[in-house]
Amino acid sequence: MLNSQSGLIPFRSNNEIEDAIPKWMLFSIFFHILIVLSVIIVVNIEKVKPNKETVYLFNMVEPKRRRPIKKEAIKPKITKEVKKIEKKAVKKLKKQKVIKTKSNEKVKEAAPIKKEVEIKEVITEEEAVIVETEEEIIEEAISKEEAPEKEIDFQDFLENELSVENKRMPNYFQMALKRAVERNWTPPRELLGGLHQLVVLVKFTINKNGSISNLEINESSWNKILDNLATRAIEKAIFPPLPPALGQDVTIYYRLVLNDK
Amino acid sequence: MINNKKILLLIILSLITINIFANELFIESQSSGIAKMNIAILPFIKLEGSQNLKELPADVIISDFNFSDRFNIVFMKEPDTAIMHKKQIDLYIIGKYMVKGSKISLDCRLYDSWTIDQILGKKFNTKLKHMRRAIHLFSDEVVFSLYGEKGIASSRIVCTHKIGRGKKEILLLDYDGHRPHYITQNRVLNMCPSFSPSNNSIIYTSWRKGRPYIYTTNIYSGKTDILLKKGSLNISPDWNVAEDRIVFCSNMDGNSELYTINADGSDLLRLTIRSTIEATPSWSPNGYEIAYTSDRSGSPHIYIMDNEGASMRKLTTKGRYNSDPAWSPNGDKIAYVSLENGNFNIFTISIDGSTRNQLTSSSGNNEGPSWSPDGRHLVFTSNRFGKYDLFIMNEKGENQKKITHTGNVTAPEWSDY
Repeated sequence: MLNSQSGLIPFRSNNEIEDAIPKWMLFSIFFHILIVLSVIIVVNIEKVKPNKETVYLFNMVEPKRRRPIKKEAIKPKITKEVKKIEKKAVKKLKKQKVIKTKSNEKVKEAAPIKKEVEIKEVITEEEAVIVETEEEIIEEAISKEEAPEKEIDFQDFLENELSVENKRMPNYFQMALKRAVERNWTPPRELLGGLHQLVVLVKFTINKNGSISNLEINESSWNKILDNLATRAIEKAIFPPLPPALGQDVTIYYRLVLNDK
Repeated sequence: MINNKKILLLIILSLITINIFANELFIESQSSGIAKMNIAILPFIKLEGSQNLKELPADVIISDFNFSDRFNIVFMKEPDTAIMHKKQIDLYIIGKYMVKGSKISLDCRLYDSWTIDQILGKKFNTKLKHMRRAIHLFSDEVVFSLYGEKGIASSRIVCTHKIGRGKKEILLLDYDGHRPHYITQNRVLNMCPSFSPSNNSIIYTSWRKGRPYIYTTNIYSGKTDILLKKGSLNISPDWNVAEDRIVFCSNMDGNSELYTINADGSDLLRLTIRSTIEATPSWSPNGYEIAYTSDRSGSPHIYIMDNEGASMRKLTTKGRYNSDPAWSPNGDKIAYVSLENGNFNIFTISIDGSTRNQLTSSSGNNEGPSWSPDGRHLVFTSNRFGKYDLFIMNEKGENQKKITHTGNVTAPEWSDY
């Protein structure tokens, strides 16, 4: 109490001393608050951080074009309607039962009974109609569900084929010709674009020594690159010598096909 | 714990050993690509009065077609066209033979199984020891009449056979390793053999006069001529069919350089002038370019230059030791030897250097590739079974078959048609 006697330092009453919070308590409270705040911040720091920017990696090379996805057959909406009708029919049947039970057990008011009777009659008529139409609709739905599955293969896939006019070609020679030409026939699938099949008909004459003449395109595939590939395939092919049965030369019609089987 | 560890060790060791053994097996699978023709081969009929044959002609045809990779062979005992039609066999081969003394007459025919028309027929009258060659000629004709390309059955391979220390003789074989015939019998070092156009002579390097010079020996007459008397080291000749010029490696001007010369020894032309080593030249099929090995970049690589020594370009980029180029007769690929992981293996590279394929792997050293005349097969030498022997494989490295059995056979060269 030396301080109080000097007179310079203000005198604190006992009440004030009792009222004042001690320093160590202040510090401890401060630190406790600090700890709690830091815990809260650390837990929520991920929410506070900005989201990482998504970086889109892309190839400089164009990806292979996907073939157009075949659209699945649209399922007939009638099924839902059928379901609705079925639900309605079930509800009405329940209502009927309820009405019947009600009418059998208690009749509270005449008016409602009449209405119910009327409703019953109406319902029965409607039901009859609905039942009939239900059956029809279900049959139609079933038949329509089957039909689209058949329609997916709308084009027949053709094969490479060769034919001769006016002459009969021995089997082994036909196989040898096919082998010689189809060895060089490897067109890339990308030529198809969105189509399912490209067909080109080539006509050429094989001479006795195996050389080619009069090479021309009978029916183009409307794709110039494929036509050129077909002529190249025939020009590059090494043909075996003609069997004597075929004479001096033979004209051949060759159908070359590219499809996405 | 110890028991588990031991079991683990055992399992790991067994897996490793299985892998090692798997690596030593070389790939032998059916060749892919062109669809093969089905053909039935029937045994040749022995005519009355004929003696017996040790080697049957039908077996030679079967082996020829197996090598050619063009046929699915069915061996039948009798011509039964119903079975042939069922199995979709369009063709069959049948023949007759008559052996009297040391002479044989052969009658070989190829039939269409649907119309029973004869497609091809050949008759041979020859000595008994040439029976194989006659059948090879018939096989080639069959392949030509069905594929438009002549077969390789009548082609031959020339190689060197080591008979003693520092002594190698030039050996001529059929493409399947039969009928060996020595070109040289001088008991000195003879090496780097190659065929002349039309396969009449062999050109090779020989030490018969104490120094390596290039000689040509006619196969049929045995007459030997020296090509060039200049210089002290002339080796690795290659004879070009189109221009009838020979390229070879010589040190007559000091360093190992490449020269071209006419077959009669005239018109010597020097091609390379650098102070680095140039060796193992190989002509292109049209005679315009030469592929060779040079170490001007530090390690040996394959280079291509034109036939006057200009327009040089480097072909191989990968590998630290590439040499011994062989230009395919189709002109689109070069086969060469490359050192990889301590072993020599055969690679093919396209002419523009873009596509590189490895043909042999994990089977010892494989060297000295040479193309067949139709460009569909390669002959090379390999020591995978201990000694160096000749093997044939197709252009993709499949169907590797051993054709010699004596060992110490190296430096093969396949003839032209």
